[in-house]
Amino acid sequence: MQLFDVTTQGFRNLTPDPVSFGAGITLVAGENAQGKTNLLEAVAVICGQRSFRNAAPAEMARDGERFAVRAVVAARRGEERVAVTWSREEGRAFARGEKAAGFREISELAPAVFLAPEHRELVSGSPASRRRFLDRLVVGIKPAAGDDLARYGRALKERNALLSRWRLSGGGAEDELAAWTEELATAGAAVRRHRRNALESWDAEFRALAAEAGGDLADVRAACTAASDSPDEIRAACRRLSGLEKKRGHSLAGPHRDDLGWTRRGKPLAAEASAGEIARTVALARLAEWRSVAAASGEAPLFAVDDFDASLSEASAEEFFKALPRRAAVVLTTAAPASRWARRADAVIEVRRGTASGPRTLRAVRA
Amino acid sequence: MAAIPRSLERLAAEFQRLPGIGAKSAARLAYYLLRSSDEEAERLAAAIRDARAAVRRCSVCNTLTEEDPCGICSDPQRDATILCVVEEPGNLAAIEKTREFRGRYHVLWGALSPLKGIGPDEIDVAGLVSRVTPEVREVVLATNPNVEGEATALYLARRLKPTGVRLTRIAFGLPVGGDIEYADEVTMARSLENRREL
Repeated sequence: MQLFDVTTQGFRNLTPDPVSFGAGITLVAGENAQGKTNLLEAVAVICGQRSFRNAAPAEMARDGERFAVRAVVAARRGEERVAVTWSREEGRAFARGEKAAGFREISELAPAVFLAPEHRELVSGSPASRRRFLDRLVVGIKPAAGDDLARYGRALKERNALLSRWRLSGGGAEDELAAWTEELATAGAAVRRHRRNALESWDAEFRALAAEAGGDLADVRAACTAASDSPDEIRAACRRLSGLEKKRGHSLAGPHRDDLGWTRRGKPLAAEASAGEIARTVALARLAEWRSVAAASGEAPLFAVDDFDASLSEASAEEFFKALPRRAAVVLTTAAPASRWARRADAVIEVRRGTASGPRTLRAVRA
Repeated sequence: MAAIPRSLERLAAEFQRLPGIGAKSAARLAYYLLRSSDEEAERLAAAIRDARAAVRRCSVCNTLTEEDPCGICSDPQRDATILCVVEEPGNLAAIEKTREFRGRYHVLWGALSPLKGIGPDEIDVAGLVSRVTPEVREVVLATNPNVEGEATALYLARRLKPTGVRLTRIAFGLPVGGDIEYADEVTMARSLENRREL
């Protein structure tokens, strides 16, 4: 998948000049705080994803009120114009050509995988960030599973609202809670099945990449903590925790409590790995995500890495470029001078005060 | 001087309070009405006034009607031993259009949603329970196939089970003309559960 004529309106510090990301490596260079990451964030938004910096839409809108991002998506099925608009009043809306579209439709049309320094949280952060990773993986591999994730999210919110009310009022009709528990269990079991299936295909790619990388990375493993994906397990856990749930006012069992456990030779990875090892593990995890989404969809997702050389030695740079997806649009941002990596790139974009100049050809940069 | 007259702003604000109407649509409707003839605007106002005056809830099934009881509840040809439970009068109209159901209805006026503060007391569960007399053989739970509708059906099933009445849920499955590949897992699982002999 490639993106052409990406334009923004009111998006952070970006000016509306069009930018394109074709096949091969596009290097986005510029000093700090010029707008490189903002440009990548706009790409994430037009691909139907949330900000990889976990920013709320109002934070991405320059005036806090509204923004728009437009682009032409070139994929196997041809070229299509897509747009995303957000306003405080009307929320987020996608368009495909002239017609309104859902975010799932857009993320299926424009698959993309992002890697940013913040993604270290995938190993050393909270379980919530690992669940977000799992669910993105699920939707990337099987877009239709998005309905089941949404259904579970809704059932959980409703059940939590009931438990929260009971905590204040001292209780209510058990039949009502039982109905919401059943919804939670049915939808929750579907979510766990999707996560297990997605993780299976991701794990095969991750192990292959880790083995290629060698050393200690070859022994890194990731596994979901969910014991079972049967609705009976969720029903039984809800029954067991019922008293505590009423006291705390929220649901204590289900996929929203699961985690992705990272280990190396049986020990928790976050506790014993260096910052560099964690960064490399996360990079391999994203590359494995790219491979498994590409294999499932038959489409090469765009692969974007923010600040790619922040903790990359000359030696590991070789390994990094070797591992990058071939025949895909790859976008790398760097605060280093463009000339440092230009020989590796097929196109170079320089960003200064929110204005992207380019894409310029490799020949132009060398000249 | 204000850019938009206050009365026009008020009209748009009233439209925006209606379900499914955003700020842009509300402004468009308000401008349209001001451009339309006096007769057209009066006709709309009269239609709202007349509907409000004439339409009420059926005292038996809760649907909207101009006569109480409604045409369905007072029709002796309808099977009083089967009750179909729906969330809104619009759902009843959709089922009636099929001409497949010859029983009677009960409109709940909503579905359980703790997020919106809607519990069993906020929808007409009590009315339904009182209508399930020994003469009623079957209750068809036709609440919407979403999270709230499903939880409402499960709740009603638990409440009505002790009466011994036959409880059925409308079938869920693949839409006619749809594609299996794009079905979500819950729909697919329900389609398999509800499969039938050929």
